[in-house]
Amino acid sequence: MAVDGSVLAGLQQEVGVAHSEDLGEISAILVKRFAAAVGDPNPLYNDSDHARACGYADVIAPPNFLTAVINWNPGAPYDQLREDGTEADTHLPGVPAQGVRIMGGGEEMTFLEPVVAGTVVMRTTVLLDVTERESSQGPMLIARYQDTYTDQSDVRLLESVRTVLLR
Amino acid sequence: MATTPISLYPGAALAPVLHRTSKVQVFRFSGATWNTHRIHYDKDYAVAEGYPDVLVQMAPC
Repeated sequence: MAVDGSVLAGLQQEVGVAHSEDLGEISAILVKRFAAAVGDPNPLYNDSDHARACGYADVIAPPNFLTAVINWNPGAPYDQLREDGTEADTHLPGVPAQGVRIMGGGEEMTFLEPVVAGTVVMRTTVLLDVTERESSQGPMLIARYQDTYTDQSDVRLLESVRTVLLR
Repeated sequence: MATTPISLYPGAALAPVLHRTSKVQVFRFSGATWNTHRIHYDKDYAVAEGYPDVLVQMAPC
């Protein structure tokens, strides 16, 4: 199955519509596991005592942490996952739950404030635009999503623009 | 001998960072980011998608 006019029309209806999601509290163990997975030994990411000695309330997250986490929900039952193993809730407003291949096409991030463990984070997602292109493997849609991450005091932590390829 | 401090300014060229990843790291990154996409741990699926092996995730740092 490939993208068709109905997929494009569904996406076009989403352009400019803001969707906000409470991502919950960024826990220290999430941050430390991410740092371990990346292989970054920076003590600001790994050692709560060191981070406190540096003036933070706890460890801070590596820069890409917020955008790297694919899904902030507990996870859907296995029989509700897509064929490719991903959650039906893709954090891509306007994209149908089945029948579309999704690929990352790059991301530009602006880091505004450090993300300290214990912070409760909100994310607002807006589809900026969607364009159609013919690829070697058939029709492809290119969608650009803007994500704004804020803390519980509405301070902006990070802004990003994701390019997503759909076919 | 003192090392030369890095000079940072807009447009400055940074030294390239090279890192050889492993399947264990790719899997652990998927876990830490709750990324269940089969293309990162299921070689049969990756081959069916036209790739020689599993794929490394985007922006893993």
